[in-house]
Amino acid sequence: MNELLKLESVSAGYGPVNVLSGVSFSVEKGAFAVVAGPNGSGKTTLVRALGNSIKITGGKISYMGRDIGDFSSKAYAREMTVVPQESKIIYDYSVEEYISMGRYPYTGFWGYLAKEDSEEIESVVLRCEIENLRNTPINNLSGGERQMVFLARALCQRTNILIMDEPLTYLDIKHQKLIMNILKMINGALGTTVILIAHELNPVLEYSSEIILLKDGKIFDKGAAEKVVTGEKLSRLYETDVRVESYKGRLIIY
Amino acid sequence: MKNSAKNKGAYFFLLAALLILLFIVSLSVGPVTISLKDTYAYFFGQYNPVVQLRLMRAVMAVITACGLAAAGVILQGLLRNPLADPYVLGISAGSATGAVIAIISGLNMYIFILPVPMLFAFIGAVISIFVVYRLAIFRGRLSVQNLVLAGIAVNALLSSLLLFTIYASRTEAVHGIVWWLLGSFQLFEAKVLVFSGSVVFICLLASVPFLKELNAISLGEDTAVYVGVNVEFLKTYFFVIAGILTAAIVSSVGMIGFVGLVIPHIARKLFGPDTRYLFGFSILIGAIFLILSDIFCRMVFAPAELPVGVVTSLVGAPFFIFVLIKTRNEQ
Repeated sequence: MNELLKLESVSAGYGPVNVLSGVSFSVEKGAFAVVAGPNGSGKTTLVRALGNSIKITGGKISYMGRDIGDFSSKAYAREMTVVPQESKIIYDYSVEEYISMGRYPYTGFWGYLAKEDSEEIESVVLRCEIENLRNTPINNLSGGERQMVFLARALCQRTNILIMDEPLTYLDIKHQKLIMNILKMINGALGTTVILIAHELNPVLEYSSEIILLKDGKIFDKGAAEKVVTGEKLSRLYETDVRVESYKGRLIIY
Repeated sequence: MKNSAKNKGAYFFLLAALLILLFIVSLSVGPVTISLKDTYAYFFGQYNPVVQLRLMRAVMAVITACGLAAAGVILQGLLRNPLADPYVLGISAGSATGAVIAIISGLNMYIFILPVPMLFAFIGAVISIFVVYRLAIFRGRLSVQNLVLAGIAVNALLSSLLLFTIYASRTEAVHGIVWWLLGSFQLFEAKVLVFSGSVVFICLLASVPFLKELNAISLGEDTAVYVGVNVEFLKTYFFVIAGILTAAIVSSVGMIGFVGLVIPHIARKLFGPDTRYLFGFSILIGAIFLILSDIFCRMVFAPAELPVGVVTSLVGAPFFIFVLIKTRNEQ
């Protein structure tokens, strides 16, 4: 069984309001899944439910056949992590201080970093090409650099699943490509399962192995890009005229 | 200065040495000057009531700094808001109301070793934390802005309640209560010192192992969950600790403002945001500041004495502005 993550009729939300209702899908090991949908369709709530930062109100989420609620916080953070949508960081941590928090699930009671933790941080810093930013306060970074640093923190966790919530928003093409190439690399070389929440499908379609479309907190459609990404479906999903064409073997949405 | 662990260690020892020096000086200066030799002799069995009184004051100032600075660091990290402290959030007002109710009701007594006003202060602190916290929850999630607003509202409400209770009270204790509310290290019973000192010490010990988690929470609750921190548990844990710390301090020395808010802020500007360092530096800087304030209180209008709460704001606010301007210029 290659099913790594499985959602069965999951409902979740905030207070009495359910944003997701009856969401079921599964993600296989090594997949590169892209989740898309209009604003307010429940993408971020789905991310929070998968990352265990909100309790689901119904259904079940299991990781490798085990309910995610049964994992300790640290044990779960060794299996899966999330890069949330860019959020304001109040205090001026340096890039290195921030990234090293990714090693927290591997540290003991006092939280000291062991030699292998420092080595892991070092290799991630090199891979993300942020060596020169080490001592920079995180709030002095550009949008692209910030997203790289957020990704670096997550990579330090060496998880089986990496979820990124709209990482490409506000990024220029260079940084979009940098992020996507790192994701492609860890997906291919390390076998990390990637779940990417996409605001826009065009820059991420070519990397995806499957697409999950959300609408009004429910699954609208899911499957391989060729099957799911059609003008007719996307028009219904976004309630506007959307066209899809194939150009040099790639799907272009406009 | 912010990024070198070695430098931090050196500064820590420097500040600790300064604190010890000021501590000793504070025993000898005041309306009656005691020579350093006589002060020294006190520690070798030569009883001196003035030194004894000042020793208690100095120790209480250090305990207060530990309690308030630690509560400030905890709350500012937990709520990701540099404006959070026991006063802004209404916890101090809750503690003070609880303690005043106990005193005015004639419950100024001890149950075994536990002072009843401190117990009431703790109950007041917990109630105010609970109310502020509940008011700040929106759609099942804690809103930091709402929390500060709720704190200000609860603070205002409790302060009026406190003033009304004092106004309506006809007991002779009123003068004492007002004096105590303004903040003073003048202790008449060593028991208060021992008890509040022990409570603060235990709270500090209980906080230290979880400061690294507080770092993660200060980045955002979601991020903290994603790196494996048990955020829900720690939020409750640290709120209770901040409540106990505030109750222990407010019920012993009254409302001493500024320390919980500004001292962590100054320490963060100087030594960076890492809570593990911030905790220790805030306590040291807070203790130095309070000992200096206490010396100032008893010197400036000697033999009359100023309430230390007045001095902390009077000295602290301009210093805070100075630090703000300095860091702005550096940027």
